[in-house]
Amino acid sequence: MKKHLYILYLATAFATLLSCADNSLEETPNDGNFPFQLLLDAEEGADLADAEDYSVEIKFADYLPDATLPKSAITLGYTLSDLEGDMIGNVTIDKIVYEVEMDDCIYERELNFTKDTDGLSGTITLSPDADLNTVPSSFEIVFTLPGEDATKGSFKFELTDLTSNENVDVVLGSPRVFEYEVLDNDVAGEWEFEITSEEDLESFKSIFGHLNADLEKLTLGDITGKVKAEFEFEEMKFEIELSQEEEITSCENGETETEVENKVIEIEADYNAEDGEIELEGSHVIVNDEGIEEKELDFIVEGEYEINEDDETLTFVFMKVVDEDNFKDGEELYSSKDGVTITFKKD
Amino acid sequence: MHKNLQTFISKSRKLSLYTLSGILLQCLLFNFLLAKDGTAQNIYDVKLRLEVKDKTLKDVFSTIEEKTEFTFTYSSKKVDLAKKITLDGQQTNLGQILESISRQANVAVQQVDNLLMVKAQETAVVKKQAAANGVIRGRVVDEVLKSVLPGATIFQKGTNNGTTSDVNGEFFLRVPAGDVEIEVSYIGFRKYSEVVTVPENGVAQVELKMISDATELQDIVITGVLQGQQKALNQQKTADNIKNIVSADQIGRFPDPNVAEALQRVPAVNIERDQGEGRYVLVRGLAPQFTNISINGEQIPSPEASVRYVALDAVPADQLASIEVSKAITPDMDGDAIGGSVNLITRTAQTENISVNASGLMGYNNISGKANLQGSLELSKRFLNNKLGIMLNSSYYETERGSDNWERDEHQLELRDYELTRTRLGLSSTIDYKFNEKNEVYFRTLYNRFTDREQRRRYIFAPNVDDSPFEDNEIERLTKDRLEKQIVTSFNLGAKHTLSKFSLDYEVSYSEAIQDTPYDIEIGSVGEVDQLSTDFTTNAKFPTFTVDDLPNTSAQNIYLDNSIYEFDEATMGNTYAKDVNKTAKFNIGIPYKAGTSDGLFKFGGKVRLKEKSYRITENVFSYTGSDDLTLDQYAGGSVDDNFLDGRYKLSANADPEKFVKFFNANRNDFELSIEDKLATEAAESFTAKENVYAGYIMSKLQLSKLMILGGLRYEHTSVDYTSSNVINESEIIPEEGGTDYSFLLPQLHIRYNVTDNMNLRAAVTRSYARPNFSDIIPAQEININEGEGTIGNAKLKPVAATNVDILAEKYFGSVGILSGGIFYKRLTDFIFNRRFESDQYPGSEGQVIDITQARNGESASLFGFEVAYQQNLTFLPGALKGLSIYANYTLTTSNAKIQSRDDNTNEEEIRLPGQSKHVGNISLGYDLGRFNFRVAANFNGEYISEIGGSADEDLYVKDRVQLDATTTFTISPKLRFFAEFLNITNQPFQVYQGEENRYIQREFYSWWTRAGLKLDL
Repeated sequence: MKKHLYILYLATAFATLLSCADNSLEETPNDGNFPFQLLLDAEEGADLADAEDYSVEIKFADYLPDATLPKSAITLGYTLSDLEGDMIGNVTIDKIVYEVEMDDCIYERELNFTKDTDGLSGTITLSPDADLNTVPSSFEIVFTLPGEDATKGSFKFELTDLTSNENVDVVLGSPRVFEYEVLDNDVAGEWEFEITSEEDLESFKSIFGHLNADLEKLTLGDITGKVKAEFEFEEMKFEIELSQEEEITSCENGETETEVENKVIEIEADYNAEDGEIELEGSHVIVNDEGIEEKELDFIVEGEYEINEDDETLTFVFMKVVDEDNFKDGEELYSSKDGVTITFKKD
Repeated sequence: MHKNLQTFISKSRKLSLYTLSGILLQCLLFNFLLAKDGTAQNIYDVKLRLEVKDKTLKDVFSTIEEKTEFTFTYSSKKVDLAKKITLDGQQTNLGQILESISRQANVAVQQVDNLLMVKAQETAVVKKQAAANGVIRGRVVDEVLKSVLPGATIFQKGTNNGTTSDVNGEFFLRVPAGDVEIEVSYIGFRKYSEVVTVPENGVAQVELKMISDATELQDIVITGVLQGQQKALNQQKTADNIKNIVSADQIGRFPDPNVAEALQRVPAVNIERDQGEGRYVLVRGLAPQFTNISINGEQIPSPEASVRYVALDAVPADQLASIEVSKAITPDMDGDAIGGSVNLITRTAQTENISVNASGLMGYNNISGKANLQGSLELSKRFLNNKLGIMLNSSYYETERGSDNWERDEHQLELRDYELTRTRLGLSSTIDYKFNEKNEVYFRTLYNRFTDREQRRRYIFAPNVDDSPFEDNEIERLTKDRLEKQIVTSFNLGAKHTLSKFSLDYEVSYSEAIQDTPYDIEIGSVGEVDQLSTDFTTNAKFPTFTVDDLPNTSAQNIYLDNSIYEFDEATMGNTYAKDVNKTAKFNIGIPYKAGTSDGLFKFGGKVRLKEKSYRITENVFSYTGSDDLTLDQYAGGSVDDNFLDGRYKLSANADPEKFVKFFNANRNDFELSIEDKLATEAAESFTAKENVYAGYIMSKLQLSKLMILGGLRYEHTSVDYTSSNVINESEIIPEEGGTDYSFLLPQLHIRYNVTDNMNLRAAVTRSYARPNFSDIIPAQEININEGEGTIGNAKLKPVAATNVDILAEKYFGSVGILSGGIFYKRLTDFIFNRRFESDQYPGSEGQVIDITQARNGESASLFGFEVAYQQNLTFLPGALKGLSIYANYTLTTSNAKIQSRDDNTNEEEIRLPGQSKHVGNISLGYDLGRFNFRVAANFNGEYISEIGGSADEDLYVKDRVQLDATTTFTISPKLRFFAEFLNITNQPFQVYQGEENRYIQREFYSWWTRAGLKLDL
């Protein structure tokens, strides 16, 4: 009898234990489940009016290293919508391609897709690659564009749905919609500047030498004098061509090709050019005296620009260069009311 | 208000249900057992007055036999029946009358049911029969309150042969066989002596019943509180080493709800608090990792991943019989205790009468506006003629607390509003079985479960003070919601054998500590404003700010508009830390004689196998959905409209429940940061194995008034770890490490009894402290791009210390003590964080980076003085005699050498982190009949909590005085009502940086109360 009563006591204590406030959340976050997410690489993009095609990348979001991409086909639904201007009736999917790298060679392969009768919707079949044994981690949709100099207009591409084998945990992530428009800002395109003197070089270095340690060390003899500027959708880059050449070996689709090219120094930035004012924003690496990269800092270059349509020149006057450590009055990397003037010619 | 009332009622029901169901169940359980307990009436319960003058002993015996149901038995050859006896009629019961007769006739009287056995007290006989030995085994109890008396001194009269009763009031004493007179003394009680007949190579079992000393205590009603004080002081007085005792009853003397807060009243002890509740213990000015925490003499593993020490707020005080703080360790104790060793002792069944202790409390927390509750129930009883003892204890505590807090980081101001729900559940049991007087086994279990749900709502005001084009004036809003469970479980199975030639005890134990955080969510949102400035100088105690040129007090301020905050990121995850100790140990004690002095030679061994592991899951999600996601869409929950007494306005912050529902419904629009997840989880997770092998020899010798205890302890530790290195927050390289170290620890203790109530003590001891796991795990975080890294140091050695203690203590018969002493500690291999340049690290390609690593090599010293005084002021006239005082003060200075923070090639001296110069308590109590009132102040001096990159960056916890009050009304000896009022003056927790007026944190908890009943049957 006693034994039973003690058991009863312990049962009560245990029940007390279980009934104690646990204070858990009403709903548990679903954060331990990591499905593969397929998403568009960008929400918007643009190219010059005469662009004949444009590629949009679709990729799997980062996934855990021990996860394996699906081995069975995934079907994606898509639509093309909101076509405006010259895009109406002229935009269609040309092909869908992906790359496979094997033995240091890149092979471009295509995916199957369907179009409905109007060409504005259909499906893309993401099939496993025979060599990868899984579906590719990314692929590009290549759109055919009007390709006329005066092209205007825009369109939207949207991934609408995803169908996969029940055993494959894949979902459509965000963004799912891509908006294309014709790039219409003044500076868009490719431009070239010829450095012909020490003065030109020093002038260029006085602005951009702060943002690239290799550039800062250059002498006139180190360069060919050719400086290229490319302004694309929201991004730009300068390429300073060096005298030194290098062999570039590439292998595409089983064919190896070796070319001798001049080395280049690149400076990349996001840009905003509007109403004659331009601002470049990027980041640069600080290298110490021993050549060790110490840190990376954001920079801003401020200036003005002017287009001369007659002689197809683009003239910049860069007046200020600052970074995160050097931005206060008097501490800027470069600051002058007169600025440094550099004139590019249309390439 | 209505909601609070409902909560209050709900909690009341819960408490009532819990307490009543427990009491009813347990009463049912034990009712039939109570009915069985029919024994003869105790002689002290028999009311009797006798007034005789010069009557023979035989006549007095006859008179007593006529007036009572008792019968005397004696040998007329040994007892002088013609002895003349005088009784003045002052004795009010038979026990007191027999005491007087015993003294006058030199006889001992022992009650066996209705028989009174009378023996002559002849010490000469003892001497004659010294050739053969036996053992007296027994227990010392309070005759009136029927409770056991730990720390009583039991001596074989006329010799140096003595011992002390343990925490259960039990003792054993080796004596010559035959009739032996033993004498028992206890502060606050009359001395008692008794002749015991000890069989050759056998055991005599006795129960020594002590009577309170009415002349010393005068009109004071002996309550559990005073009895607790008596027990504590007696144990302290008779201890071999320098220690302080807090008995469970004594904890009730102060309004301290948990073990950590009870310990803050002990001299030279201060505590670290969390949300106003005591959590970690710092002994003698040394950080928590320098103090060893044990339950029943066995170290408790720590539920926390990075440290070894235990958060004592997880342990309900109701589970304990007493708490011992040893400030100088003996060879039979674990050697890794530089500051001290805190031993929590659980309870054991004491008598064949069922013992029921229950309590029920409710209270109110002002800052949360919510109720707290506590209930406890303990049953214990001995069965089978005292052979089997069973003690079952359970307690539950729940509180809803909060705090209002502001913090500073450079120009950033952070407002933090905390809301907490904490529960504490304790279940423990002790089953012991005494096969006979010589052999017993025991099995102890303990289960503690502490849960802490915390919601933290933050506003971070980050002004763009430099007007940087790369920054904005930002206001960040964060809500954290996490549940943390700490579970400590232990099982101890052991046995004790008391043989005539030696004693043996051994134990195996398994203990496990888990910290489980099943969810930890933080939701961040960021808003940008045109103008933002913070002002920490105009009012250093309560800084101000303006947003878009409106002051923080303006209800129209835009920072209160949740639509300006865009979702930033949500961090979700969980952690699980586990620490397991498997221990086996034995002790053998061999008594010996050195001339006329008695000694004890003791040796033993111990193996402890530890496995500790930590794993973390951390998922950081960003929002990629096409629709805007702003705070107003997921804000909710309670809003503190009186934050820091209305100095700052708050609006609803992110509601985790609401956000989680949105997250789950739109899971595809949230992207996980894989790189952060892998880096964090790899860098922080680890497993570790630590095996400790220890052995010791020691000897204790009692030379008249001088006790010398000395010995050696050897401990060898072998450690292995596995973890990962994370390079540049992306590359993960598995890492292993390990080390071995050994310590030989000599210990010497001396106690000199100047008088019965005065001791002089001295001790020279060696001890050490193992490094925290966070320092030794070889995990490394290297960020070559930023030129810095943190590297664990698996080869890190423990800190070693030589400790010198000198103490004088004077005990008062009115239950009190005056003690004073000094202590000095010399620490070598002191651990500190060293910053140095190196190109030797995982992933190095020759780049020299700044490495931070915990290193040994520097030294530190600590010197202190402590004084303690407590006394019931019964010598005062009239009503003032009800006053009592409890005070202690400790002065500590320290000096540690570390690598100079200005010049890596030099050293600089600093105070030891955690060391307060001044620590003290003062408490004034008043007893008036059944009423007791006490007000207590606890003072913690300022101390360094974190060493900064320069002296200006050192963080100091500012001094703090907390005022508490408690009152007790003894309704009956079995039932007490009490009420407590804590943190009456709303003392904040304050941290400053470098200089005293540069506050970087001020956290307020307001006051809280508790009131309830305690039942002791």
